[in-house]
Amino acid sequence: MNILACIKGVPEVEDAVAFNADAPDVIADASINLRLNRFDEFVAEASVVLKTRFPGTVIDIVSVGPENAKKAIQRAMGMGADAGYHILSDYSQSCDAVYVANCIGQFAGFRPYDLILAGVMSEDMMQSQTGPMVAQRLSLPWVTSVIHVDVRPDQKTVYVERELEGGIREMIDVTLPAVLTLQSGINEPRYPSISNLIRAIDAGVETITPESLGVVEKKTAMITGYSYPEKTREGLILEGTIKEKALALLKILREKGLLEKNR
Amino acid sequence: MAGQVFAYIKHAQGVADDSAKELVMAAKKINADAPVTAVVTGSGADLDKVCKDMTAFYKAVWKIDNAALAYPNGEVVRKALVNVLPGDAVVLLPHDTFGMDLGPGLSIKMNSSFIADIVGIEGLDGGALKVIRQEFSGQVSTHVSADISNGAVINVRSGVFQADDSIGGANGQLEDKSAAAGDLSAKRKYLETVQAAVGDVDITKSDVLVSVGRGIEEQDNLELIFELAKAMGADVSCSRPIVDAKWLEKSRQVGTSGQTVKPKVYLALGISGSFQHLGGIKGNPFIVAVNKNSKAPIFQVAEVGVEANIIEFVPELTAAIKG
Repeated sequence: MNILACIKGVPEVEDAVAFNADAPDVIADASINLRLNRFDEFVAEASVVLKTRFPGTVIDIVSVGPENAKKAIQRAMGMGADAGYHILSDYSQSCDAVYVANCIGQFAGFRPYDLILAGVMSEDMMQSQTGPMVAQRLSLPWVTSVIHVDVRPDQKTVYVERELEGGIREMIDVTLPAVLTLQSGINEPRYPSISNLIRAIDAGVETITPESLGVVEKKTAMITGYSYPEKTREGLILEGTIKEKALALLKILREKGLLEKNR
Repeated sequence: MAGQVFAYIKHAQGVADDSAKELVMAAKKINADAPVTAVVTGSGADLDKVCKDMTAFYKAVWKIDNAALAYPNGEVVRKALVNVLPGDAVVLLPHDTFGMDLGPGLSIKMNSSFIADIVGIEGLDGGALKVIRQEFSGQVSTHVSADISNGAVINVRSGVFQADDSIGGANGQLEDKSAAAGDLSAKRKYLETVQAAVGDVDITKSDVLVSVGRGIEEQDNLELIFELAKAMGADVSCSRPIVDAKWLEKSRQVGTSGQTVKPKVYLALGISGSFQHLGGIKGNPFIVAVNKNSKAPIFQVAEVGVEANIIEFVPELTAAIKG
């Protein structure tokens, strides 16, 4: 089986955002440090689990992002993937799901993947777009928010369970090849092994330009500015030492009658 | 100028989802004068009932009736919508597990813009729609100008555009568009749905919830939370990462993918406050937020905020209660 695992390198919020007095600003540039998107750790783990179950499986990692995204690719390879492909873009392009899906779609279109996996969303943009958009680019069936995967290669199908509101599980059969986005908690991601990390660095990550894939940027949505989210409540912020804050909170809860009388 | 505005009506067992009315409110914010059409897919008597109900809120209701649409399978619904809607349609969807599944690919298929999870609409400016969405775990509001002149799919966050009395009495016209749905064969086959497992504690009935998130850092530290809960006479609930790590059972998870709770007091300990988490808290409880990150979105909804590491703060609070 051939698996493509789509991952993203994301910044820590405090590195990417300047919390200015009037309004925040996203200051991410080429120098920003990126790490593996938490939701994509589940993608790398699921791929490796499938490889263990179906010997001969090959796992490719692909990511669209700036130079520093390479570290996220290497980390995913360190969990047990076979090859890494880095489609070079700047950080803001890596946050444009249409662009990213075009890149991954063009990349994957030339290769015989049975299963394409992506995280349910990225921690920074939280759009949940890339996976289903890649599916449409490749005219493949897709399922999002997947919390259980059972591939049946002999039947050319995959049985999945997706999680709906209230923890309801929806059971689905999909024909292969297919695109799945994995919800967090589907597995328990392992730490990369030193030997796999060394192998990942030795094997290298192949860098690909969007131009070589024939992808041209065509933005339909522009960011015009940033602001702070509105507070729905003007909360009281407690001051003082930890102990003073604890006592102040207890006083408020008791005064408002929010604790049982004997407490 | 933008195309006709459509709202996709999610429904089950003959009852429309809350989003059905919220999308009317959102559509009015895009263009108060433009008529909005409800699109309802499904099958049989349940579908007819929902369509009839929607004529009270929408000037036009398009019904797409087909046995293949009896369950809202994203792939089948997408095919029907692509075949029925005009190419420059502006389609509003709820940003839930259904809308997130359907929206992105629908926009690619219709060659239109896609905007995920909007929390605000600033209005139309020619062919551009100005909206607000949130990024970086809800710490930043991002203002976006999207070209919707060739159509758009817009996913609207639940609960943001609250319905009011202004939207009743639309006396809408029902149109049957079933014949235009076309081929609805799919590679995704829906089998069944199964309800979530019931746990040992029913947090939906708790008056006081001590809720723990990633700020707890380690599983062993959970003991601190249970001690506080015991001292307060509260039950322990949690956010998704704690369940993902298998530290607490799924039945204790508060959020859109877990339980919807309605306590009097909600102590959010080390919980950042993603919209998915907040979506599971109803009934306007007294929310106390304790978090070491002063930017955490949970502070936006808290009655009382404490900027502190919960591992230090919780034992102090427990000790204070015990006196």
